[in-house]
Amino acid sequence: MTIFVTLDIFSGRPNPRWTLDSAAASSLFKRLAALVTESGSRLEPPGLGYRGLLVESEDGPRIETPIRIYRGTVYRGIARLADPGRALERWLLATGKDAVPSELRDALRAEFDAR
Amino acid sequence: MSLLVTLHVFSGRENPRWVVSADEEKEFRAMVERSKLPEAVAGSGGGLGYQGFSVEDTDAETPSRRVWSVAGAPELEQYLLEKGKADLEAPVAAHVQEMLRAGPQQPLVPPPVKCPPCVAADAPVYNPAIWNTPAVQPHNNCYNYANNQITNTFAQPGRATGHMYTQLQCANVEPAAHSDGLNPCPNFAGHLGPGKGWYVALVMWPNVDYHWYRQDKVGCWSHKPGSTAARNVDNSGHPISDPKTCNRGNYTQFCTYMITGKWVHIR
Repeated sequence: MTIFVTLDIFSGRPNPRWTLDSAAASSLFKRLAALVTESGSRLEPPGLGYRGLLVESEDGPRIETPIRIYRGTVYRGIARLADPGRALERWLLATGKDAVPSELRDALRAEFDAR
Repeated sequence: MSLLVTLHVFSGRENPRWVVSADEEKEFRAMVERSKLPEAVAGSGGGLGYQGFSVEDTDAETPSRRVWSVAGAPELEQYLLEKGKADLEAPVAAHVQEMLRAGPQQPLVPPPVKCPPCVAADAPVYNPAIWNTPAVQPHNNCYNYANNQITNTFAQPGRATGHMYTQLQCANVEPAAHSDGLNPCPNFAGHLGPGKGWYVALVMWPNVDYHWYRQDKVGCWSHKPGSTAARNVDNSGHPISDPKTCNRGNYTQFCTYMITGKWVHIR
């Protein structure tokens, strides 16, 4: 099973996309399993700019529908999980260090800290 | 059916937006009935701080989606605040709560949406339904949409001609688009007869990405941010009368208007 992560941010260029190695994939599932459900309405990302991180699997059953992680919330189908301090979002972004230019990663980290 | 709620509170930043669930939508519509809230067109009421909410019916495929402007209706405002509170920054939620506690606000009076005249005979009709499908939406970007060509290649300026941009700067992307057949122009006021194309606009998130808008037959502009849905509102949820002045998020640099048409080849 291959786990793909997409940084959903661009309009003209293709979004940065990378795969998780097996250790990172295991860590992802552990982190997801530790999250608790939260309630409330769904926060809609803007059209232009950072719209979150998408997690998909190409050939495995562990991720049935794409997972979106955006501004401290994990959206998994109709389920909604809290990501306190945006810890999972930050960690997942860091796994894309080879795919996401460092200036963009820095700008996103600053945005994460500001909100 | 789903409803998109916008909290009109910021001036510089994007206003917070969220989607209400189907169950909540029923509650909302019942409250609208009770409060005799008129249907309106979304827009900023001007001023600073909390100005009210707007609620859009995002499933409508007409150029003018159903929109309710919610201000001066305490029950509805409190309801909408409660539904979005979990996602709002605490100081923002507190500010809105304080404003609601202080009493009814002046009704949000949206400026009428005045689309500029469209003087291009070939301008496309705003019809997001053909773009917002699983087979089309992920594989076609802003450049596809502006040129009204579904290629399923996430088209890039200049790729079809072997002159793809090499830097994410206006001065580099514009010539790449020109090589595809687009022509720069100073504004979107000049009459374009049949076969002469329609107006598009190029903007830049300097050194990071580019973005395109197109002027539709109705006169206002629409766009498709990357692999997301085509839409006719800006980052504030407002109709776009001119891409030069709308809320473009990080795409702060306006490059140029251009003319595209059926002669253009993109890939």
